[in-house]
Amino acid sequence: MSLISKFFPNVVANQDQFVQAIGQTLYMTAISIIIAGIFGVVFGVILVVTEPNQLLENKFVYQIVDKIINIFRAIPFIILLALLTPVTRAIIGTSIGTTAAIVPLVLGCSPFYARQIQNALAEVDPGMVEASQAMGLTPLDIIIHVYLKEGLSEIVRVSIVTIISLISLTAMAGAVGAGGLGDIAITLGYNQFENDVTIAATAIILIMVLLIQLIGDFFIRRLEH
Amino acid sequence: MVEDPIISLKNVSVTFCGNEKNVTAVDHVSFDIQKGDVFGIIGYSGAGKSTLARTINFLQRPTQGQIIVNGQSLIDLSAAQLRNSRKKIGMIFQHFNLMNTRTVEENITLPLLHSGLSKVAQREKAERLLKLVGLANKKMSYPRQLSGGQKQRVAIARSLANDPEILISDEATSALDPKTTEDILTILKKLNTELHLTIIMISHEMEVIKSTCNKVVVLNQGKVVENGSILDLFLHPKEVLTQTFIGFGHQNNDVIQSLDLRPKETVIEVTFINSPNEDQAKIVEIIAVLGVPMRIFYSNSQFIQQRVITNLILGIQGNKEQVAKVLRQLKSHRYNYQLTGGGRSY
Repeated sequence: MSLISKFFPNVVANQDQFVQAIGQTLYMTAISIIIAGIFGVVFGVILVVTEPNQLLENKFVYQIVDKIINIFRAIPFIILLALLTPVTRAIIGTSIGTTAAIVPLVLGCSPFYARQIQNALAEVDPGMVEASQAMGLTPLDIIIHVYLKEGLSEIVRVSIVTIISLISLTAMAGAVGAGGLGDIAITLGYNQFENDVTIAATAIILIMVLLIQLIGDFFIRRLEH
Repeated sequence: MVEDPIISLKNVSVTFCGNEKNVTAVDHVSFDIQKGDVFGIIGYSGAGKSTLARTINFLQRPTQGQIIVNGQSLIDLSAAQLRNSRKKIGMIFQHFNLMNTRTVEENITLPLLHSGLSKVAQREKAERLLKLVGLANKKMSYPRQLSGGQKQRVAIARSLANDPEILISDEATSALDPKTTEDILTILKKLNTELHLTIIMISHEMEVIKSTCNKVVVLNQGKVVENGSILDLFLHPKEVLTQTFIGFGHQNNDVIQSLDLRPKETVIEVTFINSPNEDQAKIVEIIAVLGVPMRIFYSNSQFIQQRVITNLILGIQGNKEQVAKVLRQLKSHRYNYQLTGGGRSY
């Protein structure tokens, strides 16, 4: 403990705030992963199956989803935070705070994830899809039992990438009063010259990323026969 | 009495719209397949074989024409009805198309998803089918652990899960070595004789077609250029393309090119089915009686449908009338002959 207080005096001094920041980052990441995960998978699947010459070819749906994703991906996240204030207020009731930050986080992350899912599912051998069509499986069967099942290890891989990029987005959410590790790195570390807080915040984020990578790799190994 | 065909294609065309131009992969194709047939579709790559095969279970919708399976026109079916009809048409592929994340057993039970069978019944069925294809000990393996031949056996077992009446084999042996090809073809023939499965064999290899099929169509640029029994195809090939497929023609051209002909020598090709009354000696006899000098340059036999078909290249030395006399004699004995390369007589 004395070693920590020697190298990280300001972290220890602001211990409560620091622990709270870790909690805020975890909270924002976790909730956003769940919601963005659902959106991403749904829209990623829609993109894959409505593409020309695919299972449920539909040019209109494909073009619309494709364009929306491109537009959202083009907006820098820090601007998206500001841009979405009215939407956030309509959904959450306030545009400030940790929970409020989840709205822009989900909207900033879902399009990216949908695109990643699309790429992951595009790796599924079209021959398998053809074989399952020849078996008389329904499109929903094929999505669940072929696309998502056969693409699972690739899905885990892109999910890791997405979660890691989501963590880095949460660091910016401090701009709308969401708190978190990114926020204290700026407010304490940068603004008050408490460099050790910045370093500690970075270290915690690196540990999170490392853990996610490890868990992901473990699942990928389990999935690949 | 002729039974109704199990599959009937009526004037089927498939056109793909490209950016530059439209490509007609299947061009006004009509033919019937009878129950119990092993029906070959042969053609070079790009001839439209696979596209044609895929119209039979409507994986490819035809741009024009009708496909009637068991008296039911597929174009009239709803999506759900079409799925049910597909369950009665098994399909195997060149690259097997097994699901990599599923065990052999899980691959075979996948088509039984909505069959209403209990898990136990599904597993029993998979076991039975694996025994049928000679792979009973591999049910817990994953496809990556199997050889090509084993994968195709699993694919065959999977295609039989819903007890189909028809099996489409789309170049199923094209990625396999000759020995494994033979094993797979033996299984398919067994399914045809024991389960009375109607099989559609798509291949670019005449070896595969002739060792399994009783009927065959030759496809060229989307069109059927030849349609008949496999014996007919070998005895009376109409098209040059067919001759290259049956091997006689292809090889014979080289033989004929290399011949050192005598003056007034005419080259004739005769193809016939060997039988107790018909063989090379008989032909020699027919011609010898006429007193025309004759020699046999080359003879080539193939074993098809339990029959030996022989192709002879003969040289006849004589004037026009003598040659005509020989041809008349051959004709009167119902031999199928062909004057090759205009006779290239001197």
